[in-house]
Amino acid sequence: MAQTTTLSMEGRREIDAAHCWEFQSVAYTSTSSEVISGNQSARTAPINANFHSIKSPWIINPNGAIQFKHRLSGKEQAAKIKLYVIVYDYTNNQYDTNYSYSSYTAANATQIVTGSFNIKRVGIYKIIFSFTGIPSSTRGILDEISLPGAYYSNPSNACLPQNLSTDTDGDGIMDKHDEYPNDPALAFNNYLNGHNYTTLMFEDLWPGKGDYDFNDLVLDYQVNCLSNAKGQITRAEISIVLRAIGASYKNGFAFQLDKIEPSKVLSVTGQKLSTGLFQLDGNGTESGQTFAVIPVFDDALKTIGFSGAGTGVNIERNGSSIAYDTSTIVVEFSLNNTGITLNDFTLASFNPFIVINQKRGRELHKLNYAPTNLMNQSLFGSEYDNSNISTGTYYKSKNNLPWVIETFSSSPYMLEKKDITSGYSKLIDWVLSSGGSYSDWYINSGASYRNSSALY
Amino acid sequence: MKPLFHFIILLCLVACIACQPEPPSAPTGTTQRPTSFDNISASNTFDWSTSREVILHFSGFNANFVDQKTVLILSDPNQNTLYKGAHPSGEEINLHIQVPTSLEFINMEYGITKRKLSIGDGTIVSSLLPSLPIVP
Repeated sequence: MAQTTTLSMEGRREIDAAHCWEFQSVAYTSTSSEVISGNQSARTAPINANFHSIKSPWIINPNGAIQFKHRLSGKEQAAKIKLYVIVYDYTNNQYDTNYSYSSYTAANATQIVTGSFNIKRVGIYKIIFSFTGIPSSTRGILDEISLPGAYYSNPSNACLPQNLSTDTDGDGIMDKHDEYPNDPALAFNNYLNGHNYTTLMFEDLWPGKGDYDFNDLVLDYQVNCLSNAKGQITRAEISIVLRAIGASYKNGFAFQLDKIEPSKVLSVTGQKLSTGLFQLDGNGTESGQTFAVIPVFDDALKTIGFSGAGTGVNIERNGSSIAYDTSTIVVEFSLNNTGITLNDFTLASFNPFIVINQKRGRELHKLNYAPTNLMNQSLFGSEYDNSNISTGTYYKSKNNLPWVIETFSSSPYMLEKKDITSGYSKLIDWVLSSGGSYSDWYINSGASYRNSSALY
Repeated sequence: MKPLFHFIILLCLVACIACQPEPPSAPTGTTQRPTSFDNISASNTFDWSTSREVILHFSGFNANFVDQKTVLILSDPNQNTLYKGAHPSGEEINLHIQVPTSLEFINMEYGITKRKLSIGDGTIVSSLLPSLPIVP
């Protein structure tokens, strides 16, 4: 039995559009005096000289009858209205008007007429039904469209013909969308920061009061979660650029994946560890943790390659200057059970922190981000810290100030001993408005926002 | 008489000056703008985040003959991809993504469906179906 492609018009027009039927000045009507069959028919806007048309999806090798039913809604200007049935040849980009059809008379305008044409072609075609005429209140009505030939559009590929949808690795994702077209285990990159780098700026005297230049450790990071066709994250690539160290402390850096258990991690590569600060399990995650903690480096000064005197790197215009260090951490995940999805691994659940001066229990996280199992919780509430574990309030001062500032895009940081508000003029306004104003305080490089003389 | 006259004039001048309304002064109790980070007193509910989580819910539709997954792409106005994943059209899709707090719109693409979505309060409810123009 020959394959056919049909449009019944018994559902939502949007669903038919999603299946690659196109509607130009045509909607569905359920007005009983207009409906040709069933509960709905296609109905044009009042006809004028423009085309009011339905275009079929691509069909292949049509061989048989193009069938449809049609009528007009009234008699006004009926003799001037025509219904064209046009065959469009995809391969040769040609409209075949040999099948042009049908004029009306006032006498037969509202009668239901069955149209039928035989067609025999090899190739990819689209059939267009189009009413046109001179302006009037009369509308064209169509129903029960049946086309010979198999459906050949690909809704997943902008409704183009299916032969344009190459899937080299056979994972179900067309090469056009597959960022790893030759690897069935991978399909997509998902940059959680939207292709940007995010900047983290730390004050490492926590829980003591800092000097608020927020340059004791400055780094950028970018998180790319690589997922397969099923939406499972098979690998995460975290790029960390160590930019500046405005401290003499030997600080380590790590991140916790707040929703992911260590057992879901198969392996970690790219870590720069030498001091013994972090004790690792065989898969590269830190031992003794409920959620996966992945150490990146354990001594920032060693990582950036600074061994000289002084207290900082890349924080003064005439001070020590060293090229940024980039670490690329690759985390492979297990696909057991349902694996990990992008709802498990979000940027909100990416919890970066430093370990201050080789004291493992002295972690510093972003405001209100929970510490890991190895945190010395007696530090909370000491000195200037006003954390409240019972309410999930962490790393906040009595004035509700943080010890870590994060900007969602890579941003300049402060020169040594320069208060951050002297470099970012609108930071105070942003805070005083509780984020309601000047949310671009770190993005806008205009003179009213940024004082370059205070920034590295 | 002349000294008395001068005294009366002086008294009137004093009275006039005394009755002038006082120039406006700074209201008492207002907070001065902080001059350094240390002087800032932030709201207890302010989270200092330059990004926020957006929750997206897309309702699917019954695709009666198309079983191939279609790629859903979310991007920012600069065409930076925020999410990419393959989903069948009949699937309800629930996603959480992180965007800058300054971002107001997200673009979505799913097959022929293309839509500009307002982030609003951080929850977006939409459909995988295309939007079609209203026909008069």
